[in-house]
Amino acid sequence: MSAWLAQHLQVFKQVLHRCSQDFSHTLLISLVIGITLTLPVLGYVLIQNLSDLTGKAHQEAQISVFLRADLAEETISGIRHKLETHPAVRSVKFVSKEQALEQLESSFSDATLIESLQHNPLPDAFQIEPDSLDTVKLGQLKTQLGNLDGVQEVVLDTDWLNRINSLVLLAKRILWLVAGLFGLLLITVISNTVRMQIMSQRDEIELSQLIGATAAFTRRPFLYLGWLYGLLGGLLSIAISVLIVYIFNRSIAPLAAAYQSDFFLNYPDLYIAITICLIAAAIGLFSAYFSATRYISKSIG
Amino acid sequence: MITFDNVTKRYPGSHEALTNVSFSINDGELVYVTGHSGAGKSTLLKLMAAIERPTNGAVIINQQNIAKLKSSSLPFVRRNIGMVFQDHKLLFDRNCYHNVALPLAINGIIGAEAGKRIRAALDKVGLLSKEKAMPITLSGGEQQRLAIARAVVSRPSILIADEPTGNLDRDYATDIMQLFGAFQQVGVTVIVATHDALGKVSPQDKVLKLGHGRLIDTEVKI
Repeated sequence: MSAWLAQHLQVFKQVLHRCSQDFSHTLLISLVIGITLTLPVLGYVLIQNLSDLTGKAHQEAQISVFLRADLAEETISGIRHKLETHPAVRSVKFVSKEQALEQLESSFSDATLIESLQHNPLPDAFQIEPDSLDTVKLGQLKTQLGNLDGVQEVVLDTDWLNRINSLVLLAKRILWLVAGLFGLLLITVISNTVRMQIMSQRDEIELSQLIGATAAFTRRPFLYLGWLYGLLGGLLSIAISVLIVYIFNRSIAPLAAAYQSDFFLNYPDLYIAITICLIAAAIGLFSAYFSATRYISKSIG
Repeated sequence: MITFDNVTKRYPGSHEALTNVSFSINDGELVYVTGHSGAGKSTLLKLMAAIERPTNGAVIINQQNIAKLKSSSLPFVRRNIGMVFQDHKLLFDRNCYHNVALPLAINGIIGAEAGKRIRAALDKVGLLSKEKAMPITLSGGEQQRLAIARAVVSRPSILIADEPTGNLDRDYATDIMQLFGAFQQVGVTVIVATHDALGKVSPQDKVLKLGHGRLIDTEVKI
């Protein structure tokens, strides 16, 4: 086992040595892979940020239950009890017509407009935080609340959220498609690079096979090479993505400030960074295996 | 022990390179394979080195029939055979030490043990002082000796050399043939393909004479 590990370690060292000897070529190939991967990574970062935004909006989603104006205190208490014990309702807040008028007054700069009203036209209401944000369940809850005695109107405005969710879903599918295409592009780039490397080491490969090297032995350095290219490309793509997000955030900050917003894009997190590097390394390994198996088998005889 | 039993080798789209060749070589023998150009010497050596398989017949090397072995098993047969190629097949992108290291790496021998064996092999062929030299800086005779060091470094039981003195002057050629004799003295089976072996043959050596792909004569010199 230790001999097996030592052999792998030696091959890995040889590959590192060769890569360092031809550093500019290694960097160039890794950059090609890194830039190719950057687009899907940035796409993912954007979609992730958009999903976070819609998620927050969902968290703030509330149902307003407006009551009829002529309800007695006991009826309102009865409705409150029904709402508080409803399994699909997380929390209930009563907003009296007086509180609603105060909120309205505070939102207007010209208070005389409100004072000119002869009576308070606003109804008593309950603001409900639903237990589930599932649009189907929300629809069902809205119907049930609308059927309660004394309820005038139930307002649930989630249509715009549903539209954004649909767009995010569409963007995610497009991203998968793009990522798949770029994955194929990476396989082509790495396969071709490994093929060129095999061609440049053809004499060594042929000699090795003539004096007893197995296919696995001959293939091994190229597998390490493909894996290394993929890993370096993955790391570079993360670095490039972080740099782009940093530049974007710096550029957007004055605009966000002008709109009194603290909007900024989140950086790719560690989970994404590790996942991208692993996927890139796996693509590199697969491409190298494909190329080495195909071209090395032809070299002897 | 190497046994050829009625071996025929035919390359696709070509004539028969060997036809019904049969002979045996015992362990520790020094055997010369002679014949004119195109007689089938190289094909015979490739069959002995498990680089080619026979079209018909049996090639048995160390009790293993090459014709019946799976392709994945052939590399393990080759590891027990040291091969000196006609064109040396040295790797010019690395020094002498690393050229000789290749068969050991294939056999899984690395580190201090490998270093010891590499230096011993280089010492045996008189190139220890040039372990860091690049092959391109060596003379023809030194390149040939380097190829021999690489062939013997993993201590094979069979050493095969294809025209090892073909491009060398008389002095170098004599040195090389003496080296092969030295390996035979320590129990290695040595097979040398050559145009002009008969002038160098010792009385106890065996000669396989080929002509047009057929074994003309199996002669044991006494």
